Amino acid sequence: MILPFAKRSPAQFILLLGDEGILCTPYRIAAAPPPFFTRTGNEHGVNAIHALLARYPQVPVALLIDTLEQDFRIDTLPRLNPFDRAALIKRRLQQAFPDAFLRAHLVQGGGRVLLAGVGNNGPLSAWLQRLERPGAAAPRFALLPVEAADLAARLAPAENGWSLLLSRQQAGGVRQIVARDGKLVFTRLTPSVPPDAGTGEIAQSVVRDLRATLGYLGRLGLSDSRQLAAAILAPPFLHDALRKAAPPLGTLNILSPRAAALQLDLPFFPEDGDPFGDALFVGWFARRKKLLMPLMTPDRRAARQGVLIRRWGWRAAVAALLLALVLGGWQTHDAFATIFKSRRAAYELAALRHELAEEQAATGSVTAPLGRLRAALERKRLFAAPQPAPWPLLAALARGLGGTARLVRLDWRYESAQEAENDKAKKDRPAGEILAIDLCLVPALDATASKDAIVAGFQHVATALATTLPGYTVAVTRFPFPALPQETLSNDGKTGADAPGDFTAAFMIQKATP
Amino acid sequence: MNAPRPHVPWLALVALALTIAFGSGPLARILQTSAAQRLPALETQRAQAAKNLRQLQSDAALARKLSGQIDAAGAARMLAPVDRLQAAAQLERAAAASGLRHFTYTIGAEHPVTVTDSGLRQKLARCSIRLAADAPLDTDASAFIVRIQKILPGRVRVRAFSLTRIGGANTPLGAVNLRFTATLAWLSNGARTVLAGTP
Repeated sequence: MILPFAKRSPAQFILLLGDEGILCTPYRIAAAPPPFFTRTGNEHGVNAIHALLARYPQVPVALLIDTLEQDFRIDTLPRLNPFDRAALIKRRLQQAFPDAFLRAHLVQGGGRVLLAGVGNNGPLSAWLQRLERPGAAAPRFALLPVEAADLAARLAPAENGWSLLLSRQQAGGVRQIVARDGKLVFTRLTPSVPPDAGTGEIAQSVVRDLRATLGYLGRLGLSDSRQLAAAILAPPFLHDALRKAAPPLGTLNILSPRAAALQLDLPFFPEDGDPFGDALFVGWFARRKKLLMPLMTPDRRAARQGVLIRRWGWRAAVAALLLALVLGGWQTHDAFATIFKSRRAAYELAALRHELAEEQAATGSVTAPLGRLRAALERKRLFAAPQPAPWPLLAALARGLGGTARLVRLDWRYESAQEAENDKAKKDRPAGEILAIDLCLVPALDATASKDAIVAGFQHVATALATTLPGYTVAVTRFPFPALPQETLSNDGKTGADAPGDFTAAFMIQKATP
Repeated sequence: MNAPRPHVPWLALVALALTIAFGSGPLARILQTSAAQRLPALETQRAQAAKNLRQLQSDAALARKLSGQIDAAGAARMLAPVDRLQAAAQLERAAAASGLRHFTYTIGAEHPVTVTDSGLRQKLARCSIRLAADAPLDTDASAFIVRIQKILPGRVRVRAFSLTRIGGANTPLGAVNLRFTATLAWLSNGARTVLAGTP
């Protein structure tokens, strides 16, 4: 019995195709039937597989080929660049398998490459047609010996790297896989013994095939059979017979397919007592996420190349677009900064204009006559500014004179420095406030009064005025007779008065200069 | 029937990427040049608009403050042009009211002056007024001058003032006893020079 066991591999149908039949294994497919085997020519079974695949069109199909129509060759390549290497491998494949329907290669390292070719005879061509499902993913093809080479190394680990796995296949024949360091170096598929053969006959057949393989391996460099580690998948009842008849080998591991599956922790466990290794190979294959050596038909390969070109083209295009966007962004950064700055300035300008219009509408009635208000206020201030006037000085003069003198003439003027400067005709006249007066004494002096008495009387008046007018200078500019230093004195008897007591003197009162 | 072209879309994307990569530079330069040319004018206008707004707000505050000091009618009176003929008539009426005799006056021609004392440029007119008359007493003369200063619009400043006793110092007092002259400087809004049409 084969038990489904969840692994992290994708859901798929795995078809192990041999010359005598096909094992259909649904893997991780919900509500799918258990694995079943169909012999070649059994139309009922073939139709069942076909119906099952049609029921799950979205589930991919992997075809594991274990037919006789496959051939391998290991070639050594010179050191070349990747393009020339690919061209050389393609040419070598064509030369090695000119009639092959499917060709593939696997680089094994050290300049060696495994070339494989599959013929189109046998059941493969029929299944290629059956596996074409409209709208479904194309099936994957793989060669069982290639995909199971590392299985041989796991079941028959060898110190010097030579491992052999021998399995009787329900799909047809006895498959031998020889790997060196886990890489396929040789494989054989020999006819199986009849189903009714006895234990001894089966064991002898297996040992005969094994000895023949050792002969081939001698040509590939295996000089001593004890360098080979072998694993033989056989039901338990054959173990003793095989162990007795086996040639001398390095190690010989004989185990049932179920025991091998358990040992490998595979998702498929063959039924206990199952003599065939098909399910073991399928389980090993199911663990793979990627095929070691995928096979493709020419059409499929061309389509695959188109898909690859398109996929990488999209990746390159997206990368180029991102790079271009980054480059464009870098190049347009300054431009956009300037544009944003300009936009922001325009926006702020519009906002300011809007705010200004609102303010004008709200305060228009207040601010409209503002100019007139300001001018009127300023004019009011200007017109109301205090101006020099004669009245304070004249009032003080009246107080200063009291009853000692009488005013005969008065001449007051005030000129600012600017006015005095502008009036060139009176350029010598001092600026500021000036008061010129003519006075006569009260009571009037007698006509015979002495000059000294007259002068003393006017000097007394001048002194009184100077006392009354602080900040002003008071000077007598003319007496009734010549008496000033700049005047000429004489004794002709004239006093300058026309009538008794009509003695007048001139005074000059002006603001004292600090 | 057209053959499928599976590579056209990604090739178009590559072409788009190349267009962006090689076209963004010149396009950016064109855009930047255009924006940079507009930016100084915009910034100047923005600064001017901000200044205008601040000025308006300041004016509004000032207007509210000034409106408490003078109303529109008072402002109109304060800024009204003078009527020189009416001023002359006022002088004569004031002289008659003050009991003056032989009153003569001379109102000189106006001279435009510009006053900028407070930072506000004001265009005014200045003229000289000469007065002469016989007055009963010196107080009548001074009262007449003070009255003139009050009734004439604007500012009247006394530049010169003289009194002369009629007769001698001992002449008995009569109806008029002294002669006075005065020179006044009249600063006013000036007379209206355009009597029709827009000033």
